Amino acid sequence: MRVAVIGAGVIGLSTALCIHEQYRSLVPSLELAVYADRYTPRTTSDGAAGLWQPYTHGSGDLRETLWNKETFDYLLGHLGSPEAKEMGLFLVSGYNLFKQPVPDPSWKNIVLGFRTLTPKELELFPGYSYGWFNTALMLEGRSYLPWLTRRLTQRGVKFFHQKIDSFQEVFAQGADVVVNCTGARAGQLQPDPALQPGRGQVIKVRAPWVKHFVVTHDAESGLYNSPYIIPGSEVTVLGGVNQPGNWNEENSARDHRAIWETCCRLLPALQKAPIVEEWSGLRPLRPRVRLEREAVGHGQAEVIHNYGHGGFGITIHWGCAMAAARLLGGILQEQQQLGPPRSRI
Amino acid sequence: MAALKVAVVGAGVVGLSTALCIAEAFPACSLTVIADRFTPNTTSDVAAGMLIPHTIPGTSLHVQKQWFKETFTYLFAISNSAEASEAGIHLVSGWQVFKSSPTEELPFWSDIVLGFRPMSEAELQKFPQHRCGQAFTTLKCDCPSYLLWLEKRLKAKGVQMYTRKVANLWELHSEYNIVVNCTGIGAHQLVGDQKLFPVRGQVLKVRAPWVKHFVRDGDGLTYIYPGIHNVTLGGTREKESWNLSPDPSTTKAIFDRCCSLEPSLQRAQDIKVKVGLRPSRVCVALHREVLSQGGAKLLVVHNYGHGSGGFSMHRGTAKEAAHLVGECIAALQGSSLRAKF
Repeated sequence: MRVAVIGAGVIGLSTALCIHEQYRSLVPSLELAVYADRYTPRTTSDGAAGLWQPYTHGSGDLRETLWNKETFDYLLGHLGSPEAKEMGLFLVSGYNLFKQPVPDPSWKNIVLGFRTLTPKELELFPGYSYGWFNTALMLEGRSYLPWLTRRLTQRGVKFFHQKIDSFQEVFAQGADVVVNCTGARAGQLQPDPALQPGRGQVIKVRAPWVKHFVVTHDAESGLYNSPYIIPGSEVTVLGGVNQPGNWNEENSARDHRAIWETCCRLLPALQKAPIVEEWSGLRPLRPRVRLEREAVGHGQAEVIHNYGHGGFGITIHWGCAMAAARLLGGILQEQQQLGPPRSRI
Repeated sequence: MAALKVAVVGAGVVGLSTALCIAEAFPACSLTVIADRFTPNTTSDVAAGMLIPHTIPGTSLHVQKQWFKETFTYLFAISNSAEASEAGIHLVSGWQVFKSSPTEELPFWSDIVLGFRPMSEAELQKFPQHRCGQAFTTLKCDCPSYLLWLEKRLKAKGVQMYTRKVANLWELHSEYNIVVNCTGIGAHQLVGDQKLFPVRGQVLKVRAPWVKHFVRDGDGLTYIYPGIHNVTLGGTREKESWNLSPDPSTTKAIFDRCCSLEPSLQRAQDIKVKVGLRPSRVCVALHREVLSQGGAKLLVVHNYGHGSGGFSMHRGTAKEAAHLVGECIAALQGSSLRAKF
């Protein structure tokens, strides 16, 4: 049984690991391979700061809320393990700021210590009159993806550096099931009008005195189009750009200025922070995550889609990986019921 | 009349902040800081610089709260300005955890720090050996940076600084009108204060930049304080020990205790060990006196004995010391007016 995962961002690698952990011992013939044209540190997941935080007012999809919770609980369980540092996993607390009172988010009981901000705390952020404080997690792509890669390599999973142009191409190479984790470019393999790029840009600075995340929200500018500051283990990530429909992965000087000015206004202490890096990437925006099976072509060829995680890929990844693995379990079960493995010509 | 000459003896956080308050309040004075040690070799340089006060038994709670509030407000403003990184001041959140319920339900500073509240059950799961705790956000000073920043501001105001070991305060009487004694543990020898005693603290400074929260055991012995360039792991509180040499078995004990609170510290690197002597006293020595020999006089203001609370109280006590200097100035100007008749 050959399973090919296309895509090596956080979704592709974690789905591969979850599948291998769950089924390798049950299905000894299981062979897993990853195909991608970009690997860490050049994936979308590598550019993201890595803060676990779903949208403030989500799609309302209960599955997504559950997947977010499963991911948080899974990561929380790993916090005390010796692997945590290598995974790029640690606790972080911080502020979500609003210009008017908003209802509590769906994830208020998932994170730790969720509460609204006191008047004295709001004094820190002129222009914002309401907010939340909570403790969440950071999972840095630049550490997590290599960690996943090492786990997969140890398990004998093969990696191919290849641009895939069609599912057929992968089936022709011997795959029985393809897991489609291609993120923003999934449309190249199968048109999906619901999927579009959400271009983001970030500035990475050296500001080790910043210990909290600060995420602002502006109903007028829209999601992720308002300044945010996220402290990583080595760099602090400044951002606040989200341009749906923009495929440009080059850094924009205009966006740079907007991010720099708005973040320095938010946290004057940033003014002296040296800039270390600038990066642009494409969030795979979709009204809902596409996580489902699809029979393609003829015969028993199946694709499991797992893409469209917008700006919350890291936040939701493990729940989705487990759901995708369950879908594969369904396929395995059905195919066993169909008798001995069919021969290949 | 010629400008009054004021000397501040001591260049730790108390000496430098007191000098700054004096320079701000009395710009006409000629001000000098004299110390045998400057940063990075003061007691303050060893401290973590966390604004979490201890309760001093001999000072009224009202006064301690006033000093802490003044200090917190002052540093809060700096932390939120462009100077923050140079001054080394930043906010940090975290938890104080208790194995057995604390004696006081609400510490006197709970309404001065930000967001003070009891920890939730979910938060306490991270600390299986502790049964309750407090979550809050406070300020931290990166001590060497802060002292350098204070020195820079003093120099900008024309304050002179000299390295010199003062054997007794009287030796300064011919050069200065007023002397401010901010010698910390040095006051034990300098003014023979037997009520002042060291409380030895050994700490580790380690590199663990993924640690973003402080954790403090309510017993005050184990703490993890993340700073700008390193994390301070502590500690010890050894009364009456004058030993400035790091003890290796203590180092291991501190490391183990901190790792049990925060397991990821096992991966910490660049471990350095430091020792400081907290200048402890039943209450802070903050008063003025007149020394005289023959016909000569020296007005002295004392500001020492802050124990574990140097950083937590420094600005508040500095302002009070500056106020006392003002009283000395008034007394000298009054007597010089009288001398004219």
